[in-house]
Amino acid sequence: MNVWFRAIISLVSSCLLLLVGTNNAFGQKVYDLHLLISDSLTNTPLYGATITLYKHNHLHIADEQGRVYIDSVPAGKALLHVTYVGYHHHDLLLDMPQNGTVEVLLCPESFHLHESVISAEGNVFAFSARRRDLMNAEEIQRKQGQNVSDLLKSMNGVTAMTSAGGIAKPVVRGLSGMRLVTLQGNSRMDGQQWGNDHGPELDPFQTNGIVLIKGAAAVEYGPEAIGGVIQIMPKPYLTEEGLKGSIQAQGQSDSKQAASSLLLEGRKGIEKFVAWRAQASGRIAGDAHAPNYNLSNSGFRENAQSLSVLLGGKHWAWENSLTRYASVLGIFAGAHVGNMQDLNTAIAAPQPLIIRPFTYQIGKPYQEVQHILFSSELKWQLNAKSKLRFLFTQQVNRRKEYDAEMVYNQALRGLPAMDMEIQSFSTEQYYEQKLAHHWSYKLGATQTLQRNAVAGLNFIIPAFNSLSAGAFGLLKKEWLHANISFGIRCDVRQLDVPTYKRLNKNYEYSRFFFGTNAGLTYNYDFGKKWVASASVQTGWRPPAVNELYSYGLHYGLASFEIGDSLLQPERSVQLEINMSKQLNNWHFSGSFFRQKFSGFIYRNPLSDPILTIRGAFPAFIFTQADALLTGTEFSLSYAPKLAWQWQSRFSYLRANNIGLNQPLFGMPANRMDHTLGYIFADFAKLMGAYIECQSVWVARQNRFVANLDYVDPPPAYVLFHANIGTSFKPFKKGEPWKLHLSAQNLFNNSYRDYQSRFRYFTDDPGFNFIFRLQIPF
Amino acid sequence: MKKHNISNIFFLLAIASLFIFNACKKQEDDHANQDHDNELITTVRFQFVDSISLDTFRYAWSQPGGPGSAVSIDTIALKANRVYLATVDLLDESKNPIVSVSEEIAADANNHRFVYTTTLAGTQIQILDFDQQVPAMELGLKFRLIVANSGSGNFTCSLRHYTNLDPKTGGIIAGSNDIEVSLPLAIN
Repeated sequence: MNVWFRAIISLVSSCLLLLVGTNNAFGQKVYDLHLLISDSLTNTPLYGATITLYKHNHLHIADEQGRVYIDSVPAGKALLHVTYVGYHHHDLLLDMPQNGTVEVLLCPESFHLHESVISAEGNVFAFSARRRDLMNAEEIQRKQGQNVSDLLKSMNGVTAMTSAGGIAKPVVRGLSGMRLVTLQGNSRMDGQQWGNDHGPELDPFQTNGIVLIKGAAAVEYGPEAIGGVIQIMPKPYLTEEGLKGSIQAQGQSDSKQAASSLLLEGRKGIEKFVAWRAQASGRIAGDAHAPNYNLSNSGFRENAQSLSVLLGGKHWAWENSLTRYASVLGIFAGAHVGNMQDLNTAIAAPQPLIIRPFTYQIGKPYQEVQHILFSSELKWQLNAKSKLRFLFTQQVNRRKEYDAEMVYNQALRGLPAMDMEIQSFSTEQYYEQKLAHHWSYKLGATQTLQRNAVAGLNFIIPAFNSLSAGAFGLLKKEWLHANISFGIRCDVRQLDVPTYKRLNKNYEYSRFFFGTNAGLTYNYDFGKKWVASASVQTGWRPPAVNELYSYGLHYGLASFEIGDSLLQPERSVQLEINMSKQLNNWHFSGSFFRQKFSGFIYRNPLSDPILTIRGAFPAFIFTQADALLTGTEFSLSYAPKLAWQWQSRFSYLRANNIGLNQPLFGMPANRMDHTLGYIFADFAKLMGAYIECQSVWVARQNRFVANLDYVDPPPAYVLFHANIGTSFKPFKKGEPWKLHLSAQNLFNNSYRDYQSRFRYFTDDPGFNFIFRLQIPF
Repeated sequence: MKKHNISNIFFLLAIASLFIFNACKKQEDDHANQDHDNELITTVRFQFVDSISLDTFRYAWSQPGGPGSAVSIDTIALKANRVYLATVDLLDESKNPIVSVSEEIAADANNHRFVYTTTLAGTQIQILDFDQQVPAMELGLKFRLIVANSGSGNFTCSLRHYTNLDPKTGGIIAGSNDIEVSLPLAIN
């Protein structure tokens, strides 16, 4: 873990360098720093603990007495990162010069009950530590957009599937929806993820850290984690007594969007304690604007509240939290088509057929979504080597979609076209233990009950009940320069669709699924800051309800979708290799992956359109074929002591349907981005001021099947963004305020992204100025 | 201080519980599938009255099983050099008794418009009814079909549907299609 963790440190160090603005001008005074690293419980010195000083990019190792001596540390703030195998890492911000020796206490992984995990490390047990990418709180504040997918997009290999306006779904290495698991804290979010226009129900303001779990670490999360796990981390609780809070405000020019959030948190007691956190936020956005016209009815509104309370004692911690997210999202008016002929007319037009003046009003069609999640988690330390964790999660997701269609029957007017409510209850149990010689293991079991109810005028999926249960075991062995982990998990799922009537015929289904997934990861540190890891894992996913039982028209994109109730689970085998190297101020990291699916479920077009009273519609049937996804991602950064910074990233994906020997539909195009930044020395009241310019190049998706889609993929495009930000103290007392300004699509270029669902009808949004202010108190 | 803090928590919890119970109230108790007794249009029926003989002809396009099921399409057989008074009716034949939505369309005439086209040369269509707008625009539940030549071709009927935000005054390109059916035409 230590090894990989160092890789992560170096990976994010370039970002952190941008964040921690400190004095680093030449000719500055330098000081010595003495540290003592020891175990927080026994005070035993930790021989071999590693200390990274971000500004230096130098690694230091503690001696037998746990002592470390670092020379020539410049005056001002110094950020240290201390790690040791089997212990939680510790970040520490020191004001230089420091007198005497600074004591650093590390908590053993197996003992300390962490109330909440900080983004950097992820889960306490960190099974394989095969974390590909992560974002910390600072980075999130700088990059916060209108939804969580905006944040995720800034990770290499992650893109977003958008639907003009507020809807964006994350896509990780070409996989999305039912192939990704989203965790809010430790609770798995269950909604209607199968819909391409169903974004995750998450408030960006409640996001304090994002961890993307790929590779063998995802084994723990069961069937749907076949494409990875996105973990949204909440803000950690206060560690000191008191009452604190912050106000965040955000504005965006493109959709004349305003958002704000209020956070209050408090803590009473240190050994035995009550800590709590309450947050409320709201957001209102009008129509988005493409460079040449307004995107009518793309406005949205959302509000979210959350409350978490943590009760803790010496050997236990009990957390209860409740979050609610509600939104109303307009569906772009220009995309509404009644049949194939309307669709062809709309596609042939150079701009949307419906362009109305800007408004905050949301008309039909629109979506109304509410997600409420309650979780209760108990962590219990049995002894120094073992602990138990129980988690109960209950959630309800209500989604109503209103069509622009007007019905003729007066009694049915005003009803949503689609109305679904999914309730999920899940219980999870975990036990972890540390053994001698750096062996450790973790056992767990999960049980989930889901009930989906449908109402509304049309329905795409039927009501269903599903009961799932799974059990897993993880085993890990650590050496000084390497570690190996192995995990295996088995799941069963019973899916029942009670009798329903579709067009005067009764249908009833019952399916049982069983599957196993396993993963093996090996990390090795070659020394000289060469770190590499390799992992092999298998995954599976039972077909989703829409893939099994859809039958009907989707007016939004004028298509007729037909499910296949006999689909079998899809399975995959994946190999991934990662490496990173740090040389002075240069940092390089690269990863390569290859994922082979057997029975990959996808929408296959039928040769003849389906004739209906509305006219002819192209028809698609869900079917299975073998598929192969191969890709690579690279990043190279230069983060010297001097204030200029540089980062370049590149990602490539090739996805093939092996059965038909043709490219898979809708896969993200290759892309690269370059960022040039400058960090200013502190002056007057400004701290950590930075400025950066970024260019993003997205290639044309040249891998497509001719005449399969309504139009060919749009051309490549380049966008330029600029960011500037600083912390400042408007008052002598209190914490510094943070201000971040961004300009996106600086030159107001017109472009269409291949993953925008409305690219058939409209350009993507143009120039956007974003203002973000955080006021802690 | 401690007391104060804890009472704060309970207050917040109380507020939070409102959300949960609110949410529960909205839930439907039975999680079975509701019987989807929803609106469906299965049939477009045309009636042509010969202006000389006063003979009545009825032809229909129908898909009684709903979208995706079998379709039955009549051939419109009429005589050349005649004028026909025609009406159109939209029906849901999956219900018993059969439901007609033509009255609803007449009631919401300002948001609907039938558009008829034929591929047979020398055939003319005149719309006979109008909506309540000023100036009035065509509705098309009633129309006159003037047939000059004999021959065969296609007769297409589409129903455009408009909303307040996407009004009828925007012309045929505005709105969206509720109905689009095509029937073969045989004139002798």
